[in-house]
Amino acid sequence: MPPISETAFETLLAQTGIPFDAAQKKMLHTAYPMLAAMIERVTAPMPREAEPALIFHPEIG
Amino acid sequence: MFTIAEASKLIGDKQLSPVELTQSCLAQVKKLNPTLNAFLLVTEERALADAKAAEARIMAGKGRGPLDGIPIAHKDIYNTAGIRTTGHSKLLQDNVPTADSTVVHKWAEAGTTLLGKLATHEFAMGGPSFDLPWPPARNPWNPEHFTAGSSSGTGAAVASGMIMGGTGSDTGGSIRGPSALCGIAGIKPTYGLCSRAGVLPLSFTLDHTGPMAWTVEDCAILLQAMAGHDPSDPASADRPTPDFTTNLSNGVKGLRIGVVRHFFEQDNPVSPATKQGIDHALEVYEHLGAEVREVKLSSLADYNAPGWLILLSEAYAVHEPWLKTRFNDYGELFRDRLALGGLIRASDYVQAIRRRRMLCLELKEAMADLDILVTAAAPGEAAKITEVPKWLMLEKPNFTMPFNVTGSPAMCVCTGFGTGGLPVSMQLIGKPFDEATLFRAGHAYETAMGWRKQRPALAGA
Repeated sequence: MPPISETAFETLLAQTGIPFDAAQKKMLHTAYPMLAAMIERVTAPMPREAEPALIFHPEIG
Repeated sequence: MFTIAEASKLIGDKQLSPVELTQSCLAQVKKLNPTLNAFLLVTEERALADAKAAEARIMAGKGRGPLDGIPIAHKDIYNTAGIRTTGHSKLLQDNVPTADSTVVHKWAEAGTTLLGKLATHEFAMGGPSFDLPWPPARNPWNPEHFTAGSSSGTGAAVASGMIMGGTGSDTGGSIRGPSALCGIAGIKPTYGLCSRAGVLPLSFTLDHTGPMAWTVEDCAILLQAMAGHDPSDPASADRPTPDFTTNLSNGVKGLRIGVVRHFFEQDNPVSPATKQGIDHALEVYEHLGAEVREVKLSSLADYNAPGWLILLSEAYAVHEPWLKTRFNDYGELFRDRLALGGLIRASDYVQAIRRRRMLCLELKEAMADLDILVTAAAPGEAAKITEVPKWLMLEKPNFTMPFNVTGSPAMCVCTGFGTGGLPVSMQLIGKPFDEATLFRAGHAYETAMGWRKQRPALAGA
């Protein structure tokens, strides 16, 4: 996964609605590649029929 | 110092007074808590009232069972009626619930005496933090060192003999991490076995409640009083509660044990003492008649990735309203770690839960002809409390998250001591709802070894 640009990262941060200051933004930008590596790992191809782990129970106990 | 099993027998035989036992634990709290910071709140009056009531019941021949008169405390994310429950956070520092969580109620009904509320990492994820209203718990084997988290106060309080057992919660390892670094036993039961109703949530599909104690046997006794269906927890399993103690001493002859060696040799290499402890434990099991063989799973990183993406996404959803309005009221570690959850796209979360199911199926297949797995619980001895990296969970895959992802029961057992006299540990993993086999294996190892005779020097045992 290519490194995220500062502009693209600014957009991601803005979507959260959290009032980050400049130092917090910089610190999160430093950590983001580790998160991106995890995302890359889970988005590797899976069989189309692979179902999520969630099970919906229609009858509320 | 007694174990719960020992104290329970003495109390039942009227040779030990619950009031005197509680007073002795309270004295230990007064002596050690200023150093260890394990308690956020000590409920001395409540503890003594509980102990007197237990003593009266027992003298009248109306004892409630093995936990009657046993001193315990709860992690401060468990709601306690009329008693402050803070999540170790400024955001809830004046929060007083009106009802007990299900587990708190169940342990009270079993006759326990409540000594107070225990330190946690902020909202069960943030520590070790030095910018919260209360300081972080410290390791009784060396207070300069980390307890791990997030059930940090429970780990410190049990190891130092302030309490005989306590509650933890485990979303990515928060029972097993502190159990490992504090040298005690702790079990994350199967997802759905123990109620989470009335416990502050972190991540709905990964959160587990469970007990921590000095021995495996004590964990079995505590879990017996904790497990069971609860309609107020939507994830609670509607099935009978197994008996965890009857077959505890049946040994491991014929038990089939799989070793996930690549987790702790290649994926995240452990300290020499940790590896030596696991290898020796496997020799002990073989000597006791178990069959040991190696098993291969996906990498630790493959299990950690969906785990952390699910955890951060769900925790972000829980905290989003406060993150937007009170961001700087959180401690730095929790706030910064959790902020990453807001950067995960919905489709990435869905892919993570799809991946999770594939890993559940992989583990099920790998354990088809095995009874338990053995692997590491922690990479090594406790680090200094001032040297824990903010992004530790992203930098290296941990050994505990895989079994939050799969929901399997997993337990820590102390395997001795390493550098600086600090404890090391192994992790035993069972099939869903087969905690009884885990307890049998853990108890067999503890009985064969002498580690349970050694308490931290400052505990004064």
